[in-house]
Amino acid sequence: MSLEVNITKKLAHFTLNVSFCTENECLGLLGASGCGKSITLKCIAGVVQPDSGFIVINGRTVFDSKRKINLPPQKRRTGFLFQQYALFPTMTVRENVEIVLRRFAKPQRKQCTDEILEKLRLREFSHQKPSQLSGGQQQRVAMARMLVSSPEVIMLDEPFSALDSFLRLAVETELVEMLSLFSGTILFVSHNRDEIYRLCRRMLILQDGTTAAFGATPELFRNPETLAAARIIGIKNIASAVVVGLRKINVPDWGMILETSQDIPDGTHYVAIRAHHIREAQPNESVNCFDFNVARKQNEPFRVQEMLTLASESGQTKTPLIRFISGAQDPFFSSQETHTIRRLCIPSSHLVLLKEK
Amino acid sequence: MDWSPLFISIKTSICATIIAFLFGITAARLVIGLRKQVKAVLDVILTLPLVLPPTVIGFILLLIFGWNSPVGQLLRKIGVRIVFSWEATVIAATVVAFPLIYRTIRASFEQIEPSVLDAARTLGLSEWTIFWRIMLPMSLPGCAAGVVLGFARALGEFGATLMIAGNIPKRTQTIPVAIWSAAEGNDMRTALIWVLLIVVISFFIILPLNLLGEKRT
Repeated sequence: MSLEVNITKKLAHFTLNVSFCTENECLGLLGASGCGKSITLKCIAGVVQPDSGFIVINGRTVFDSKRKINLPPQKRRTGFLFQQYALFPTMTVRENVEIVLRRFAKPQRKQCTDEILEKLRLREFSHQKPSQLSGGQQQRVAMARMLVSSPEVIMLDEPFSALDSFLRLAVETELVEMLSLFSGTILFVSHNRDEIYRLCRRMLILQDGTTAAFGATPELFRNPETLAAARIIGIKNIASAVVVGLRKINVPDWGMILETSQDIPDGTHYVAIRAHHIREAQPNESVNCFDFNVARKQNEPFRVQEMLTLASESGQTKTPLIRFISGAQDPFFSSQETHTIRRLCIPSSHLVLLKEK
Repeated sequence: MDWSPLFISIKTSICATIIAFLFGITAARLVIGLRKQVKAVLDVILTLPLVLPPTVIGFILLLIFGWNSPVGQLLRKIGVRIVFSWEATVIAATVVAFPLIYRTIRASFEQIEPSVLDAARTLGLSEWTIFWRIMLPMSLPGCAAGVVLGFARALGEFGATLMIAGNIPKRTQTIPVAIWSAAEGNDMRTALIWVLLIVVISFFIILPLNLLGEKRT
């Protein structure tokens, strides 16, 4: 089951312009809120019309602006799991599923409904209204309803955003289980990079309606390539940089010249380092090692966050670097440690080199 | 005491409410599907009877159904006379009740979360099924409110009714017309009875609406 999308649509603040191909996988769409992720899904489902482009599901063209094809959502065979699940509130769980199977004869409808309710452990709730169910149960109903409509593509729009945080992991496990009942293409939209990392082998990063990066998820987390992608996958320290040698780069905002472990590619304009990659320098280490002032220190439940500025006269830090040290600390006894000078290393192997676009 | 105005009023209001409800729900469904600009204009037109003076509505109805109008002549050919008939009271009441019903139902349609309807579409349900099985049940309280408000308005209709249906006892004389008629003839006692009666009826029509609203919140 394949999906090919190439669409543009003018929106209030930017123009959506996405194009990708996917087949029998769970593809993640990652981006900040309002970057066009949900609109993209809605265009594929047919409830929003793109300005131009085409959408092909399994070889069937469901939208093509040039050939004037625009199938209604009813004929596209896409499954859409909405953020708030969008269940029919006046119907019971069973009715929510059965209405999708209207065109089948009654015995078949009943059997099909029984099967899916059993599979998704909804049997005992079948006569309850959606408002009587928990968020996770509502999601299972939405899923049941979607699966019986036998979609060719499934789209999940921020499926965990309506849930309390302590429920999310449990529901996520359930969702993975449910999705294993489906063998086609899945599009998973989220602004949460952890969810995408866990659920999707490949991902597409969207920024203001355009593709900032597209590729294998772990690879993109290691090397996001563009500034926008690096921001979205959550690298804390990003600064503009000037290439001064084959493996040397000047970072004015941090007040330092850094060495890289590989030849710097053309078009590199930014350099980035993850907050937990900054580490204590070894006794005789010198490459990318600097004396830092801890300007500010913050305790979080399971890690300490430090704001670092250069201590030496050699450079001045305009934008402080952020460093994470894992491990819980008692916030009331460790606060004296600020303003100490510390020798830290920015490992060249963890430096991320970024292009503008 | 002649009780005919009570029965005429009730009969007229029931008929008018049914007709206005059917038109109102159809109009509401049509209007919410339209593009913004068209919607705005059409909405104003459909709401006009609510804000125009009843005499203006009466006058317009006279223009439409009068002896010399095309519609009037057509009706005459098939032997139907609208002006000064009981049917005219129904037409007048329908026209003034319609905007209230239409607006209330439209508002409750618009309250429905769009994603619920979008979900229904992606699940393959036809627009017809969506309307009957999802939209209507979800806006049932709104429909009920619209019907109650429309009925109360139809019951109270005076100006347009007087202009197009006149004041013919036992035929077109509704309670509001009877009040005016009695007061004008200085029969204050009869007028007062009708006034009290219509206050009581209106009170008990609106009351369940509020109780229903209390229960839901």
